[in-house]
Amino acid sequence: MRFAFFKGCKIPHYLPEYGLSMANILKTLGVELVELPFTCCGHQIRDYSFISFIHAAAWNLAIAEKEDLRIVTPCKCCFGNLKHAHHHLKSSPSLKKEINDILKKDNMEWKGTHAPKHLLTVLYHDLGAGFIKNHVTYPLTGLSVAAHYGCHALRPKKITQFDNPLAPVIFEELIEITGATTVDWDRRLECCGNPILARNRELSIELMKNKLADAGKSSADIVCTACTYCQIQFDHVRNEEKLPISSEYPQALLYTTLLARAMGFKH
Amino acid sequence: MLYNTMFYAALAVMCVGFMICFARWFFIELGYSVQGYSFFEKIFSMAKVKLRFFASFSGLVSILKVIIVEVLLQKRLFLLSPLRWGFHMLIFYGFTLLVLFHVFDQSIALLVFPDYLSTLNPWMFLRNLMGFFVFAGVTATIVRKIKEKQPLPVGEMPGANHKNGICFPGTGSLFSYGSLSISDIMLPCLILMIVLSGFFLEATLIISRSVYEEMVMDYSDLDYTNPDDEEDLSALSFYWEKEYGVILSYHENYTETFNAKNFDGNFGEELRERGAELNEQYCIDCHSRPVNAFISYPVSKLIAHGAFLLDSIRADVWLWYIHVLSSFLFMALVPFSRFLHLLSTPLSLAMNRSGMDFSKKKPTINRSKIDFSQKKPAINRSETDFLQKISEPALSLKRSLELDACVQCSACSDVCSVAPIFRTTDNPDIFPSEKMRSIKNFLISAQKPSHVNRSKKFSGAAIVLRFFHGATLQKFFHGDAFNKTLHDAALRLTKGSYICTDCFRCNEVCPAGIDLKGIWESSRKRLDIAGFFPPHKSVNMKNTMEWAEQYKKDCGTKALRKDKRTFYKIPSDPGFFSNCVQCSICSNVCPVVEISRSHSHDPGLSPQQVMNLLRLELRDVAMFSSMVWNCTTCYMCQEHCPQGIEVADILYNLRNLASNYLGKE
Repeated sequence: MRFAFFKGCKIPHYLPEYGLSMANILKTLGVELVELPFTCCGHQIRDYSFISFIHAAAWNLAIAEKEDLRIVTPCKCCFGNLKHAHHHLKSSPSLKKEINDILKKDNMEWKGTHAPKHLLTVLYHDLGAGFIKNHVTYPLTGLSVAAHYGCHALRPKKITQFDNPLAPVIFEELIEITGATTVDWDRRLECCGNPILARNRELSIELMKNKLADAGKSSADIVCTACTYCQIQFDHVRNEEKLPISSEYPQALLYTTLLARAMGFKH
Repeated sequence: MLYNTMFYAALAVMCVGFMICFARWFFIELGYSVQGYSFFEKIFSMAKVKLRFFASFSGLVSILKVIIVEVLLQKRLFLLSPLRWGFHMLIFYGFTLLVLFHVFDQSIALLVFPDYLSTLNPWMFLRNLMGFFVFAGVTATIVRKIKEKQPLPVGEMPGANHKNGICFPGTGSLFSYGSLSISDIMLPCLILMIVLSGFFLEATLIISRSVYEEMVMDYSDLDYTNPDDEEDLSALSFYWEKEYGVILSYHENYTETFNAKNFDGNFGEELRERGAELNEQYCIDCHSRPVNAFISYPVSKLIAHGAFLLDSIRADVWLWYIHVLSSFLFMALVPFSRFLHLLSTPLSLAMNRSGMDFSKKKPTINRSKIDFSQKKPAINRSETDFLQKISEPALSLKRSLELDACVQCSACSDVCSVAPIFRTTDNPDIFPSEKMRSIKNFLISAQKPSHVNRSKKFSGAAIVLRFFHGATLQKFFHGDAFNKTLHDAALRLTKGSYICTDCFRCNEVCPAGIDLKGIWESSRKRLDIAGFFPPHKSVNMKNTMEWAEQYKKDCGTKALRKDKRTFYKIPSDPGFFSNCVQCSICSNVCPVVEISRSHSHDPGLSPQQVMNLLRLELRDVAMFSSMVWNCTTCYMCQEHCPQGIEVADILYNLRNLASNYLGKE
């Protein structure tokens, strides 16, 4: 299996361990990742201009198409944006023409042959839980984990096609592979607050605190994320706010960190 | 006379230029403080940080390492592109050695090598070699610059190497008022002129009869007026024409000698031997054969046919003036052009690597040691915080220096994450290299906002600085039009500044080691202080109704419908929203509404109310409401809407619409 590895803008500098652990895990599981000269998925410009957002996403999709590869990304915001662009371009021929006219200036074209995928989808659907379980050598027994789904992959279902948006199961099942137990919590499908960090920091922090507090209440040891921005919110932003880790506000860990640990990787 | 006048004039211009540079470094404010810092605050803060750093032995070692690895060997440029590194090293070393041992030959060269003589080997050979290095490097740079003006076809890029990948043309700055830098091509051409005039000067000297005769007069006992010396003189001239390449045979004084050899073979041989003897006696100690000047000598052969003409107009004197005056021009241009990076780039590299590189210090802990059973320890950031606090004025100084350390090489623009967005916005300030230039222009020309009272001693410096950067004159001649240009440029810069993902790619590739991310952050702060906000901030400056009123006044509803780009999904007819039955499910699932209720934030409108406004064709009110701008884009509303209305996407579109308007404010 070969995929184009879409890291997104934040991983190389803010969360290099996410990119590394994902690459290592997929390598062990027999998936080849190809690094291409990707740029921003369009998340940054989406508030300002629809057409710029679609163009930026189509640019990246076209780069992967050129190599005849599907994009896999560890970031749910990138995934959601690329999916949105893919959907809009598919459903509107006039938009497709407009975007391709702009892409033509750089000798590129969006054909729409390859839809992007998220890391969890690849693990769950393409590789299968049973297959991954064979590689788990050090089960994380006794760890109770709150799965944080991340909005942009989950909703809207019509576009992202990730899982059942009201009662998703993928993430929990993937966490249970590692031997940890999952908890059911009220706010597992809610927003981490990062998208409005720049626009309304206070509100963003409030959302994050609510979320972590709810995870703590459901007696989870950690909150598990599979999205760059969610992790940055629960880790970097939380540190900036000087919110210490406690049983009330549990720490957040990336899913790949858990899985890598369970597969016995030495970092 | 001319030489001295020009020299002192160039020196004076250069000194004034450097003073303007220093003034600029202290005047430009790139910190977070609204008031700015005074000259002494900056100096003391810089001294504190540096003393702290250099107090330790490791500090001294590391600065030595920076000088060797990054300044002399230019590791960062090598990592970026070995080819470019090669060209740059050729120019750098060729030029530096020429300056040290050729320009200052009487002081530096003689000091290091007491037996130095410009006409002896290996100096003659080395001078040609260094000249060749500079020539090759500059030519390659010009060719590369011209080639890169064409956009590289991304679709045809090879493999996955992003360094050869996306490449944008170096877009010319639309806002180039007052930047005294001369265009990309003219400056390398000046260096080429210096080098080429040097080669031609040497070549003309080699073949020149006049110079030959002057030297015979000066350095030998032979005398042209003495008939006894006639035979020796012709022997020497014969030898020199054969061995040293001087062209004499055309001149009537020598025709006899050179014709004589044709009817007697032995005569030529004898003459040559005598010439060699004389050469050994008078010349050889101070003059190597010019064959070793491996460029000038072939050039002299090329121009040999015109020897008569060149000598009669004394081309060597002309060329000497061209050579020297263009060197003076170069000297005068150093502080005003990108040649300034000879000084500013090493300085910024050294500063960045001596206790001021905060971008590298990440407030995260080493994840490999996380033990699941234990709680994560709180991170001790106080050390970093403390350093950042005392070094804030110094950072401001460092950043303004970095603005001058940038030569717009566009290495950053080639890897910029958001570069493709240029295609849909046509805003060159998206590109980091262009942004650097715009920030500099903005900070020099930015009018002091009324709420900032800068201390008076700076206003004088500001006036001088603006004068020298052309702002004063432009303002005098163009008045309001110029103010508008400034305003538009600042708006463009604001837009460009916020289309940035803070991905650090530019930091990583910058050959000058500039902390670009730090400059982006602080320049956004400066834009804020000057009253240029991004849409999500300016929307908070007035309340919803005030914005709606102003919007209606400015645009009317017709202008709205014209702009299809931002209006992609919201059809203009209100019937589209008639599906909305105001069931308020969207408001019930909205996390923002929930948190506003429980924490008594300003609840503003709920999503359902926004939809209602759209049904009532009150779009201009809807788009400035706080709900639209507080939306977390979690798509809860859209997913749960029983009527299938794309609530979150509509909110996105309202933001697009409002941004488009607010961006012009």
